[in-house]
Amino acid sequence: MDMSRFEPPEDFSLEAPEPGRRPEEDVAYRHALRLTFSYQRFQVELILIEAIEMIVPPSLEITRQPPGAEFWYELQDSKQTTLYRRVQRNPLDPFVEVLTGNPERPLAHLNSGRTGGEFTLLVPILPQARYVVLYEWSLPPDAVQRDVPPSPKEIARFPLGGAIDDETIARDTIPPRTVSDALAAYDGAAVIHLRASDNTGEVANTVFRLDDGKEQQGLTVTIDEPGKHTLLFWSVDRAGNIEPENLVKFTVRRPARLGRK
Amino acid sequence: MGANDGAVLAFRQLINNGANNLRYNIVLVSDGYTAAEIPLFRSQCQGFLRKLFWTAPFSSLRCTFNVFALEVRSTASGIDDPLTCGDGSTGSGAMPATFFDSTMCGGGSVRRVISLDSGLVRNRVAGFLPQANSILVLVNSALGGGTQSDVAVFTTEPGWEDTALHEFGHVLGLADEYGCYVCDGSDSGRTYDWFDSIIQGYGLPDQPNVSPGGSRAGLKWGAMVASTTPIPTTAGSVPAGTVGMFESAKYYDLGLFRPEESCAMRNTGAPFCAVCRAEITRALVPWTPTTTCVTPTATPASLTVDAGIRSKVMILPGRGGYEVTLDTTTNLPAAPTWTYRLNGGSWTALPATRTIQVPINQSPGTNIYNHSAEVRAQVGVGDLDYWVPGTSTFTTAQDTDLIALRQPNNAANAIDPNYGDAGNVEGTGSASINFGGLVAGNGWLYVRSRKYYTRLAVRLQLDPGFFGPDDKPAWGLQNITWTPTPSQSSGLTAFYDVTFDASGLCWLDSNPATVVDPNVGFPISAAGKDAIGQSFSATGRLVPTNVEYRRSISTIERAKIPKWEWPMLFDIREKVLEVVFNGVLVMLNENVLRIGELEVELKDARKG
Repeated sequence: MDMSRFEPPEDFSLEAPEPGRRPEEDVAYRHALRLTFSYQRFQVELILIEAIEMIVPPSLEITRQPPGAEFWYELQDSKQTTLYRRVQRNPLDPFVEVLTGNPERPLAHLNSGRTGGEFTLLVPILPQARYVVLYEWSLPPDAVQRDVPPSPKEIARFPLGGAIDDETIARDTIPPRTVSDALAAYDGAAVIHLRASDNTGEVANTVFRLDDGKEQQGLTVTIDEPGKHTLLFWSVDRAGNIEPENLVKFTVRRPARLGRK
Repeated sequence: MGANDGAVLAFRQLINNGANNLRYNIVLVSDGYTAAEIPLFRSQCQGFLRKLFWTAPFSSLRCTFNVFALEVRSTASGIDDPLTCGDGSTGSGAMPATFFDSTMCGGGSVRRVISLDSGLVRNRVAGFLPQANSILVLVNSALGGGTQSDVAVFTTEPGWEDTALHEFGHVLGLADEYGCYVCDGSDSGRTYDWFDSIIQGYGLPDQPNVSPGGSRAGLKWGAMVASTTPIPTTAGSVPAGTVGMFESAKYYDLGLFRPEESCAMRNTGAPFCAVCRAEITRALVPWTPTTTCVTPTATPASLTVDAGIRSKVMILPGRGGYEVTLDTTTNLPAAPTWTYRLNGGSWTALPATRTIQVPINQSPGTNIYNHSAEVRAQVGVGDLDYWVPGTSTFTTAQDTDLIALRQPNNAANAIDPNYGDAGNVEGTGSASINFGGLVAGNGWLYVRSRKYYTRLAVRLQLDPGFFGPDDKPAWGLQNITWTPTPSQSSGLTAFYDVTFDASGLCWLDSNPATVVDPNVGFPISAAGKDAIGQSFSATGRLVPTNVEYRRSISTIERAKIPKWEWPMLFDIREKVLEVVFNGVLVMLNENVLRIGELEVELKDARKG
C-alpha cells in the first residue's frame, strides 16, 4: 500500500480536537497506520504496516515524565523526539482479565500461560515520524530497595516512513499479508476484493489464481460463472518475500431469472 | 481444525452512523455457530447492542459507533473443552470443528481463558473493514470464559455483555476498581505501594478513575465531589451515585481510591460511575459527531385492540355467545406472544385467527352482554433493538376494548300471517263452499251451502338478538306457548283452522265465539325461551284475507277453488248458465264450464 496518498495536509495538528470542533474537520487524525506486531516470549516483530483512512485517538500530553501506565508506545522522529504517545494495557502480559464465575469477585487476572501472539497499535501518519517504540516499566534485576527507581524500558523499536530505507527493505524477511472479503456464496457475479500490506509499508505485487486459470496480478477478482470456485491469492514484497498462498472456496449461484410477462 | 471448518457467510452492518473512517467501528464475529445457529448469533448481537446503547454514557454516544457482524459458519457447534487444564479443572473433552478454533484453557493454564486464531479473525475482518476499532468474538458456548486482548473473546455465559463493556472501559483508558488481582484470596487486603505496583506490573494509578488519595483538592475528580461529602468516603455512608473517595481500587484494598462505591469497573453489571462516564465520553470525542447526533429514545411499546363482533356461536348446549375478532396493532417487533383475557379473568393464549368466543350466558340463568377484552403482546428483550433495563414498558403492550354483545329486543319480534305454508291446504268431508247458488262440499259443489274451512299458518319472526332455528336449524327453541292454542305447531310456526262463510265472517276451530271479520283477523301471541334460554314474547294478528289463498289453499293458481275439492261432480239442471259470483263470471255452455279465466271441460258422469 502506497502511504503517500495518506499524507496529511499541511494544517495537520497533533493536538486533540478543540472543544466544539468536529472530529471530521480534524484531518490530522484521520490518516492512520495500523501496526501489527507478533511476539514470541519477549521478542517482538513489526509484521505489517497498513495505511488506513480512519480516526486515530489523539496523543497524550507529551512531557518529560513518562506515563505511569504499564505499557505505552510512541512515534519518534529521527532525533528520537516523541511526536505521539498513547498508553494501553500491556499486550505482552500473559495475565488476562477473566470472569471468575464467582459473584463476590466476578473479575480476576489469571496467568494464561500465553507466550506468543499478535497485537495491533494505531498511530497517525506523521511526516516526521521515523520510529515506533514500545515501552514498559523496568527495574534492575537486583532491585529490591526503593533507592533504585524504576525506569522506562524500551521493549522494541521499528523504523517507519522515511526510516524504511533500501537497507531495511533488503534485510526484511517477513512476508506480506493479503486479506479478502470473500464470502462462501454469491447470488450472481462474485466480486472479491483483495487487500495487501507489508511491514515495509507496501507490497511489490499481489497475485491470484482462480480455479485452474493463469496467475493474474490485481486486487479485484470477478467471476459470474455459476458453480464452485477456488481462489488462491498471495503477495510479494519489495524484498522478494512471498506470502504463503491463501485459499478461499466459494460458490456462484445462478441469479434468479425474471419471469416473462 | 480452523478455517477449513466453516465459511464466512456474510458481513452485515448493524448500526450505521456514517462513514467508517469517521466512526468507532465495532465488529462482532461468530465462532462455534453452525449455519442453523447463525440466527442465535444475530439475536445475541442485538443483546449486545441493547446493553451498549442502554448503558450510560454509551446511551448518549450512539452516533459515535458503527457496528458490524461477521457471520461465520462453523462445521460444529461449541468450543474446544480439553479434558485437563493447568488449573486442575476437568473439561468435557469436546473438540468441535470451528472456524476460528476457539478453545477453553487457552495457553494451557486456566480453563476460563479462551484462545483462538486471532490472526485469522483480524485478517477476515480486515478484508471487509480495515477501519475496525474493536473486534469482539462471540463463541457459542455456555461455558464460562473469555479473554480481552487485541481481539476480545467471550462465550455466551450470562453477563458476557457486561464484561464486554467493562473491557471496553479499559480500551478507553479506565482502570480496574476492584481490590485484588488474582482474587483467589491470596492478594486481598494489600496496601498500595507505588514500588510494589511497578514490580507487579500494574503500573502506576495514572488512570482517571483511581487515585492514591489525598485531599479533596488534589483528587483527580475533586471537582465532582460535593463539599458535604466526607473524604475519604465510607461505603454505605452516602447515597448510591455519590462521588466521593472510596478506598479499594486497582488491585489494592487499601491506599488506593475510586470515585464511587459502585461502578462497572469494579463490578460488572453495575452502571459506570460519573467519573468513568465522563472519561469514556472524553475518550470517544474523536469519533463522536457534534452535528446531528440524535440520542436514541426508546419507544414504549404500544398496542391497540379493536373487538369486532362476528357471528353467533353455541359454546355449549344452551350456552350461546358470539365470535369476536380482536384486531390488533402494535409497534412491537418480531412475533410477539399474544394473550387475552375476558372481564379480568386469567390470561389465555390468543388464537392465531385472533377470534375468540364471548359468552352471553356463561352462568345458567345469567345473561351478560357487556364485556371487556384485554389483549397483551409480549416480546423477549432479544427482539428489541434497544431496551431500558428494569422495565417491561418496552417489551410488553396491552390494551382493552369493550364488547357490547347484541341484546335481544322483544319489541322487534313479530308474528307474520302472510305465510305461504304448503301445509295450509286441508279439508274434510264436511267442508263446503258457496258459489252463489252452486254448492260444493266434500268434493261436491252445492248451491246454497255457504261455508268451508282451511288451515292457515302464522310464523314467529324473532329479533336477531335471539338464538333460534332461523340462525341454525339445529338451534331449536327451548319452549314456546301460542295463544290461542293452535291446532298444530312446529318450531316457529303455528297453524290455525279457520272457517269462512259466505256472509263474510270467519272463526277459529269451529268456535263461534271467535267470529271476526276476515279482514280484521284474530290476535295471536307467543312467548317462550330461545335456544339459549333468552325469554321472548311476541304478538301479532292472523288476518285471513292477508293470506294468499291461491298459494295457501290451492296449487291451482288462478281460481279460488281448493285443490282438494277436485275432481268435482256437478249436478247441472240447465245446459247454459251465466252468473256473476263475487265479481267473477261463471259460465256454463254445454260441457264447458268457465269460472273467470278458468275453463274446465265437463264430462257426463252418467256415461262413466
